[in-house]
Amino acid sequence: TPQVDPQQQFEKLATAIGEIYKHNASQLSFEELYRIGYGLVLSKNGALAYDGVRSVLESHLGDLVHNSIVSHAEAARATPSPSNNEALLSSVRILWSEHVTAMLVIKDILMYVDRVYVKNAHLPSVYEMGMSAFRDQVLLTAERRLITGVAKAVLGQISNERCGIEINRGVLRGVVDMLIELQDTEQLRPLYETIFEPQFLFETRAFYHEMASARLTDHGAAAYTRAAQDDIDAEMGRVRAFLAPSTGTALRNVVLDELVAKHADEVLSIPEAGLEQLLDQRSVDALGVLFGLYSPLPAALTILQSGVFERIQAQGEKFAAALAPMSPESSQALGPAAKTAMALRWVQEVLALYDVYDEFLHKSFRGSNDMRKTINDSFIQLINANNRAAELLSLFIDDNLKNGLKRKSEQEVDHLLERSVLMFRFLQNKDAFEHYYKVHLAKRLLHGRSLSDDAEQSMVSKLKLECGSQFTLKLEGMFKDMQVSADLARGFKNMGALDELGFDMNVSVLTPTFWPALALPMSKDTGNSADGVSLPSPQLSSAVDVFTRYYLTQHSARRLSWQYSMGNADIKVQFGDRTHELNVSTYQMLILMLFADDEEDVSLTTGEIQHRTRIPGGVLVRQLQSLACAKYKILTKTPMSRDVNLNDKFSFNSGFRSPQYRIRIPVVAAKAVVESEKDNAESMASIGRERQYLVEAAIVRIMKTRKQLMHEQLVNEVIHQLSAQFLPTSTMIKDIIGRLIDREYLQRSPDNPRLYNYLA
Amino acid sequence: MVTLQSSDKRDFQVSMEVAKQSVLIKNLIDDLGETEEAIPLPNVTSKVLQKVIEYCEHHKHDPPVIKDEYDDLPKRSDDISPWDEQYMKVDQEMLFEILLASNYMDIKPLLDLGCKTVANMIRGKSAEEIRKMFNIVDDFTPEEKEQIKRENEWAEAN
Repeated sequence: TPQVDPQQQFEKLATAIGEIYKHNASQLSFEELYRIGYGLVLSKNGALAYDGVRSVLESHLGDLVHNSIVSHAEAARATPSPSNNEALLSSVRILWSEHVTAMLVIKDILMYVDRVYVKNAHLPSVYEMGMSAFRDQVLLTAERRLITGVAKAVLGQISNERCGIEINRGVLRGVVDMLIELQDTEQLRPLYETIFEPQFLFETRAFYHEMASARLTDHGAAAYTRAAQDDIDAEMGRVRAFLAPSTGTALRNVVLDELVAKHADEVLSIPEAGLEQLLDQRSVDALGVLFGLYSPLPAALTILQSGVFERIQAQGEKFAAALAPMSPESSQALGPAAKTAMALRWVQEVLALYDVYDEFLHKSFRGSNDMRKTINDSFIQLINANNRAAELLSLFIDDNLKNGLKRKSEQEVDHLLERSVLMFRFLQNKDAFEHYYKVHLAKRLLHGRSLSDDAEQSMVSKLKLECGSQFTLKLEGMFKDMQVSADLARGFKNMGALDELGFDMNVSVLTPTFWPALALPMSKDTGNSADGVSLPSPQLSSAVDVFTRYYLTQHSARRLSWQYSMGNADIKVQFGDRTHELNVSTYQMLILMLFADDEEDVSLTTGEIQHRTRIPGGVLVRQLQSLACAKYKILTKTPMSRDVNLNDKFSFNSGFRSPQYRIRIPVVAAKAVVESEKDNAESMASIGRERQYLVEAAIVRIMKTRKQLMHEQLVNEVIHQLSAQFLPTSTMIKDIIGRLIDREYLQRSPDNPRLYNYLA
Repeated sequence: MVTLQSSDKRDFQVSMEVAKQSVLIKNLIDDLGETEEAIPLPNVTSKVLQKVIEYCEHHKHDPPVIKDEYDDLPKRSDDISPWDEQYMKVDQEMLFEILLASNYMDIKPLLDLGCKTVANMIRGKSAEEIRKMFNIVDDFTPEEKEQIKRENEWAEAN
C-alpha cells in the first residue's frame, strides 16, 4: 500500500469538522472520513487523530463563542434586563444545540477510533471529549467564566417570572439541559448540580422568606395559604417546564419551609382571620388548602391539630354554659319540661357540631387519621366533661324515637340515631347510659310511645355492635316481654272472657330482671297488687282475677304481681250532657271512679281518696294535681291552690267543657324528662353500687385466673376489663381490694406488700 | 435498498436489513440520510464483499446482541454453527480478507466468527507450526526465545 502521510490525512479530517460546524456536512463523504480514522488507527496514529480533533474542536468553539456570545454576555452583565438575559441564554443554547448535532456526526465518523484506540488507551470517548471541550472552551475559560453569567441569567429569568414578567421558557429548558449534560471537571457531577442548583435554592429561599413577611402584614389565613399553594404549584410547574426533575423535592421543601413551617402558628392565629374563623365559618375549601400545606410538615400538623382540638373545646364550653340554668346552684327555677328541652338542645348541638367537623374531616382533611383522632379525642373530652351526658343522650334518643318521625324524615332520624351511637362510643359512663336507656325504653314500651319498632330494634342492634350482647341482654328481654304480652293478649281476647264486663283490658307481663326498678317490690301473693292499691270497682277486680287465672294456665309455676303505677286507661266520662273520652293513667282512673256514683256533688278529701285507693302519698299528689290543677280541670279542688294537703276537697267538675272529644290528661311522672337533682342523686347512687359490684367481680375474676399479681398490674387489668362500661378510679379499686382482703378473697404477699395472692 | 460498491467498482444491491448489520453502513445512512448513490467501499474487493454479503443475508434475522453483556461473556471458540463452519471453509487469504472487511465495516458477529476460526487453527500447535501455517518470519533472538520459554513454563507443564 502506498505510504500516506498521516498528517495530511488528518488535515482532511480537520477541514471536514470545520465544514460540519458550518452546516456543510452534506458535501462530505462519510465513508472517506471514516476510512481516514480507520487508517490512522491502523497505522498507530490514533493519538494524532484523537488529540488533533480535540484541538480543532477547541479552536472552533473558541471562535464561535467570541463571535456570537461574548457581546451578549457583556450586555447582560451590565444590564440584567429580561431581554438581555434572554439574548445571552438564547445564543448559548443555539451554540450548544449545534455542537451536540455536530458531535453526533463526528462521533460516528470516528467510530473506529472509539472502538479501538480510545478503548485501549482508556480515554473518554470522542463524544465525551467533545462535551468537555464545550464545557472548557465555552463555559469555564478562565478569562470569561461564562458559566457565571449564564447561571446568573437563568436565575434572573426565574426571578423575573416570579414577579409576573413573562419569559421564554423554551430557552431556559435548553440551557438547563446543557447544564445537566455537562459534568464538572473535578467532581464528575453535572454542572447543574454543582453550580446552578445550590444557588437556585438559596435565592428561592431568600425570595420566599421576604414574601412570607410581606404577606403576613395584610393577609388572612385563607388568603395566605391560597397564595402559598399557588406558589408551590407555580414552582412545580417550573420544574416540569425547564428544571431537572430531581430538583422538585428540594424546591418544594424550601418553599414549604419558608412559607409554612416557619409561620405555622402565626398563620393560624391571625386575628379575625385565623383558624378559628375558618372553622366557625365552615370554609371547607380554605381549610383543605391549609391542610394540604400543613400535613407534610409534622410540627405544623401538630399545631393545626392543637388548634382544631381547642376550637372544639371552646364550642363545647359554650354549649355547657347554656346548660348553667339547669345546675342546682342556678337561681333560675325551671320546670322539668324546660330543662328537658335544654338538655335535648345540648345533645343536638354537640351532634350538629360533630357533623360539621366530620365534614371537615372528609372534605378538608382528606380523611386523615391524625385529624380524625384529634377530632374524636376532643369530642370525647367535651362530652365527658358534662357529667350528665349519659342521661341526656338517652333522653335525646328517647325523644327521637317518640317524636322524631313526626317532624323529620326517616333518613334524618336514622342519621341522628347513627350519630347517637357515635356519641355513645365516646361516652365514658356507658353503664350510666344503660341505666337511663332502660328507664326510658320501659316508659316508651309500656305507654306505646315508640313511633317505629324498626327504629327501636335498629338502635339496640347498633348498641350491641358497640358493646357486645351482654350490654343489650336486658333491653332485648324487654322487647321480648312486650311481644309475649301481645301474644297473650290475643289469646285472652279470643277467649272472650271480658265480653260481659263491657271493657277491654290490655296486660303487659314483665320479667323483673329485665326491667328497671320502676316498679315496686313483688308482693307475696299472686293476684294482689304490689303497691297495696285497692281497686274500687268489682268489675276491675274481676278482670284482674280472670286474667290472672288465664295466665296461670299457661305458666303454672309463676307468680304475677300487679303494678298499677305504669298503666293507662281510656274512659268515657259524662259532663252534663256532653261525653268525653279521657286518656288517663290507671291511678287517675281509680281516683275518678270514686266519683262515678250517680250522686252529684260527691266531695272527698285527699285523705279519704288515699284511704280508699291506697295510692302512695307522693304519687297521689301528682295524680290529683294533674286532674285538678293542670290544663284540664276534671276535678274541682278546694282550695284552688296548687299544693295538695290532706284536708283539701275534691269534687267532680261536671261543668268541664272542651272542644275536643278525646283528651289526654298527662301526668308529669309518665313523661321522660331530665331528672330532678334528687332523682339524679338516687340514680347515681344506684349506678355507684352497681359499679362497686362490677369492680369486685372483675378483681376476683382476674385474681382467680392469674393467682398472683402486682398492684399496678391488677389495677390496669381491671380498668381494661371494664373499659366498655366505665372508667374506675384507682382509689376506688384500691378500696375494693382492701375490702376483698378483709373478706379473705385475697391476701397481701408476706414478702412484698404490693403483691397479691388469690385465696381459693 | 442500498447499493454498495466494491473497490473494483462492482455494485451490489442489498436490502436495508442486510446492509445495516454493518454499523459503519448503518451510521452512514442514519447520519446522512438514505442515498440513491452507491456507498463506496475502496477497502473491500468484490470477491470479499460478496462473501460478506452472503453472511449478512444468512444472518439477517438474527436477534440483536446486547453489546455490554457480550463483552463480559467468557470467550469460547467451540460454538460455531454448522452453516458458519461451512461458510468459513475458505483459503487463508480469503479468511484474513473477511477479518479485515468485517473489522472495517464493523460487523461484530462476522469478526468474532473469523477470530474463532483462526483461534481453532492455532490451538494445540507449536510455535514453529504456527509460523509455517501463517508464513510468519521468526525474528526472535536466541536470548529472547529463552526468556519467553521461561515465562511460559507454567503453560508448557500442561
